[in-house]
Amino acid sequence: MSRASQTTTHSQFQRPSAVSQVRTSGRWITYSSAVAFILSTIAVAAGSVNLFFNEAEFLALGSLPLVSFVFAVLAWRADSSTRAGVLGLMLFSLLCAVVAIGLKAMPEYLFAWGLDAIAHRSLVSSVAAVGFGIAGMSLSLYQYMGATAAAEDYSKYPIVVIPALFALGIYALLIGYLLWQGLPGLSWEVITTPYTWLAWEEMVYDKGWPIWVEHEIKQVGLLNHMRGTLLLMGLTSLFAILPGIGAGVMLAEYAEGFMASTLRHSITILRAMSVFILGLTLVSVLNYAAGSPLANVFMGFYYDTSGTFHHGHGSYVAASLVLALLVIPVIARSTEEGCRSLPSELREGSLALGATEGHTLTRIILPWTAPNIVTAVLLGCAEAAGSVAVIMFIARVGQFGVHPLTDVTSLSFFIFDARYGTHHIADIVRPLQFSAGVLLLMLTMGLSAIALALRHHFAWRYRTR
Amino acid sequence: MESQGLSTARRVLRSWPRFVSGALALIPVAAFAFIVGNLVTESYFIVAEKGLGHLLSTEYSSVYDTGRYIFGMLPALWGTVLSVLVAMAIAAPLALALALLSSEFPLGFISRSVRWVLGVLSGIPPIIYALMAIVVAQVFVQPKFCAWGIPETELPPEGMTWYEGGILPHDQSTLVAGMLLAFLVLPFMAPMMDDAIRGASRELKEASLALGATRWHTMSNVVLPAALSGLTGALALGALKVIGDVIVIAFAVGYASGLPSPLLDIFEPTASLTSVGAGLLAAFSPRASVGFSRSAGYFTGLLVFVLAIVILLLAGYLQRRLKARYSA
Repeated sequence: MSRASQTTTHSQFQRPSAVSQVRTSGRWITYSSAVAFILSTIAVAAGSVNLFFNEAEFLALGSLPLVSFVFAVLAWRADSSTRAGVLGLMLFSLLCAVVAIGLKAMPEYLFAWGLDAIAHRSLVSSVAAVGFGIAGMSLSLYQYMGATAAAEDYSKYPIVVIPALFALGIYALLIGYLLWQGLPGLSWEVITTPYTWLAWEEMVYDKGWPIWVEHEIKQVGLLNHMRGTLLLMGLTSLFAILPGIGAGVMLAEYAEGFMASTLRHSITILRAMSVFILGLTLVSVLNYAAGSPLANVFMGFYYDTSGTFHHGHGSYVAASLVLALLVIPVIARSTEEGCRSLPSELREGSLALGATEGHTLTRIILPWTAPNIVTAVLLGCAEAAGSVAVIMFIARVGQFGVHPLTDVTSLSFFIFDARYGTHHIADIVRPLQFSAGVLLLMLTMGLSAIALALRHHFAWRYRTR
Repeated sequence: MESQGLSTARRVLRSWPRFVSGALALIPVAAFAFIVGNLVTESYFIVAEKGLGHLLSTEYSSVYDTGRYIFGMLPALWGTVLSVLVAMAIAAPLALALALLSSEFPLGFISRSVRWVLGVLSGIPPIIYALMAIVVAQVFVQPKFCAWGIPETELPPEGMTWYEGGILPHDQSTLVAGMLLAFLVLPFMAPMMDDAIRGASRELKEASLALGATRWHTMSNVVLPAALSGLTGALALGALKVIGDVIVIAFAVGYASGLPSPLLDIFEPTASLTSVGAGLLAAFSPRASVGFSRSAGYFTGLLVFVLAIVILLLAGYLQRRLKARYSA
């Protein structure tokens, strides 16, 4: 369309009659392009519906000839340089309509280069309907607005808006499905019941003879997973905040040259590192700690129903130490940004008035950076709450209590465990996975929303510079 | 001045912020060094035992399958690369559209709120996307790509696996994983692309507009080429997140042993570095001694790390070239 832009920018100021003989405004133009726009929109809608429902195939198939009609109408009023293009689009869309309708006469499948799939014919018609619909919307908007240069800009909006709406719509569908499946199962009782599956035998004396009585507690709930998630978030923030602030202040204030680039690179790579590698690291750390005097702290311990002391599989302390490595880069980057945004008048004024570096740091720089730090800690909490991959090798269901020295558990682990764990009560556990997902979603999205609102609220400080 | 009269000890004590923040800043560096060193030392065992050639071959069978220890990692590597390709193919155009919507094609409050909505969406943890794997497969992939209800007389040619009830009853395939991963990384890529487009040289854009070009022409011929280095950075970030993802791959792709039969087959479950590694390690408690499977699991972690470094270096190189070529 850039050729069209060149000709129409010329024709905006002077209309040599030899260049374009076609009127670009008038009653019939307005009506025909409005009708064309509406038909194209219908084609896009029909195509997207067909993308999800095979039965709605007739919608997309019917809209393809409609779109060809749209292009014919537009070609009638297009000026000479674009007419060829529009006619080409019309023929191409007619061809696709013929192919799609012809495919309908065939049985329902297409082969795809020997891949392990058989594509349904509606894939062709839906994609074609959406594609040609967008082109038709764009061209008809252009003509509706009078074929000027400004019109060309506005007519490109559908090309950007429709895919963006598609992406946002998919998110809405995903979240809606999660809520639909999970909200019915989410009751107050579920949230406040801890998950327990304990079976033990007790020896009682009956008429002088010892008999074994079996006890069993079997209940499914999300309480200890919920508490585990909160504990994990709290411990991770605790472990990550000081190194994060230190690294950020170091990068912004004191480091130079090789030191600064090493620090920056290692923080970037820590951020980019896969959570899988951090999970492997956690397994190694626990392996080293197992024989050492710190085994109680790192491995966790619990007393089972008969009072025996057992080492756990990995405590909250160990998991939070490794998860903190994920959160430190977030805090460091945010702190560095906050430190750099401090107006230099404040810093230089403080030093000129004789304050030491420590005084400047604690009284001026850190309070200024505090909102950044809080935002980063909240975002890091959201990430710690949702991470399964780090703890998936060592986590258990936390039925022996939730405190920093027992087995790790978390809401996200519950979802993973419901699918891949071996539960004797799997039929009770599995329906809860969507409810746990809803809880987790509310937690993480709430934290992110609060963090973003805080960041937006404190952005006024940057506007004064 | 008073500070000239200070003793050295006093002066050192006064600059405590440097030392404290330096000590604290050493923690991430030391942790990074520990992580890499740990990966290398743990995978040294199997590299020494079996050799790199064996480890990078195409045959993989774990002790669960056949009782032999063969750890060729190439199928897993290829599976990861496939999922990156599918996810990027879906996510890149959508992210670009969202970024353009919020920077160059403003629509009032819609484009102002796109950034905020994406920020909230970026907080969704991967396990939630993994939960959707089955519904995505049942709503989109299986109606469109499986031959439900085809009578046997109309069978496709040989070479395609035939299960009872139709081709591909799998609800796990690389396509499903790629689609979910695309929507996982989209809220991270779109704001980065938005920043790149906004940060592309203003003088070039305003010069182009002043010379009479339309906004569309400016955007497609001036702004986007100037922003290409930032766009590459966004793509690299998305790729890094995709290769590192464990949970979506575990739920959506499952596990398979060999290379997919035509190489680009995204409709069947393929092995992936993280799923193979998790499978190798999950059987071992942290107190197990070093064995073949455990070491091979760490080797997959090392491969993920190496892949991440390769992507970072490649992206850095491309960014430098693009910046030199296109910016003012």
